[in-house]
Amino acid sequence: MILRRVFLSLMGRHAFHTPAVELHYHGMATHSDPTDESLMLSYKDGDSRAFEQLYLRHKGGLYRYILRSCESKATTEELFQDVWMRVINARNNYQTTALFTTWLYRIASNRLTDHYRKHGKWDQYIDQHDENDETCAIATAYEQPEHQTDINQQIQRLLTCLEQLPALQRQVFLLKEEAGLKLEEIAKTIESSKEAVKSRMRYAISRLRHCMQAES
Amino acid sequence: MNDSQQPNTPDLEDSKLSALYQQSRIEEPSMKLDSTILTQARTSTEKQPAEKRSYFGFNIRWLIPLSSFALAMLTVTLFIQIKQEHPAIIAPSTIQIEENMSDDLKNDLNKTNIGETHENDAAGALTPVMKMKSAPAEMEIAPARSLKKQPMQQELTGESHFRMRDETSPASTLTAPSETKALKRQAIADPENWIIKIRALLAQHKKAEAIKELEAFKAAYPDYPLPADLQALNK
Repeated sequence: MILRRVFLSLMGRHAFHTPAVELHYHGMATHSDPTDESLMLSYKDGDSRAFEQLYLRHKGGLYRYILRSCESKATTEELFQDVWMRVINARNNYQTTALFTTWLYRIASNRLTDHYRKHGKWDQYIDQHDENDETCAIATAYEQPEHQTDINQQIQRLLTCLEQLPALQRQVFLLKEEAGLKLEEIAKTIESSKEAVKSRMRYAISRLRHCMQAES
Repeated sequence: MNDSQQPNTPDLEDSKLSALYQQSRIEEPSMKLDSTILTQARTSTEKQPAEKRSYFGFNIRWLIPLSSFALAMLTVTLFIQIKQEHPAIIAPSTIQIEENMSDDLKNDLNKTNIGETHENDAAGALTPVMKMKSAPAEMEIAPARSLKKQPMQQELTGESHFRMRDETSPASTLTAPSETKALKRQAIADPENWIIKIRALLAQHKKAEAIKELEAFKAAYPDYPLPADLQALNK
């Protein structure tokens, strides 16, 4: 362990010349790869290459999580960069009390909340949160369109439906799909109860089903 | 909202819906954004203070406090050891001794210096009783060489301040101007010499001064047997 730390520390000072072309990495950590938490601890100790690995693992999911929650790509890029800056600046205080993913997406969620508040969209955001909304139509079953042949159209339809979801329902759906979090972890991330998360997830899926049917 | 309208469990993640969404995951941040963030991360680690870096499980931020503590301990240890083996090196200087002298001693010293102005007088050699009371201070400023010759005087005053000095001490140079006066006082302090001085006054027909000196002598040496000629004067 000590030798590994020394190695990472030495490498972190000299090896950080990976071309940007190589930074497209979609896979998650395998069993042989270091965990997110150990990478973050290495980065805390000054190993910038550990941060690179972390970034490659999570950049896509986090980017899409923010993109699906925002109104524009420019805002997404601004918020995305800001979230990573907060991770960088908070590295000295990082402790492995929770999953790194939970910590990262909590920062992102808080940043999104700040963004909504700053631009006066907080009320709208809260209103969408009403899960007892009578207009919420629940589909009883999801039926794949029989005549659907173009998968790209389906994807586009799904994304359109996702945009129409209430913000908090969309949030839990995206945290599950993009961050791969379980209900308990989503509850910790957004600082809510498991039951509330469970309910939002249920409504989100139902709405998406209904929307997909309607679009078809 | 009744139960029939809701899905049975939230875990009934629609696998087809989820799979469809997974195929939509194509958006990525731009290379420029990647480069900006990674550069920022690298710069941040380079700016990181060296003392916060950790190698071999030892956090270097403790280096300065530990070094300071070790240095302090070394200094104290050396001081104690040198003090035990070579006390003269660490002994306070004579100047400090002068500063640490009590006010009484300093006053006595001043009186002695003032008394030197009377040395030019013939009567100044015969010190009145008031000046005898300042004998301890005079002994203090006198060189140890002369004090060694006056064990009786030491017993008389009961003072031991002079033991702080030695003949090699630079402080002895401070007492040089008063050395001759001290020798004269030594003569007075010696009872036999004092009696000789009193007889000399009588021979010079200075009876009043001789009586005063005799009274001073009796005050200083009450048990000393007076010679017959002086006993008559005493009466």
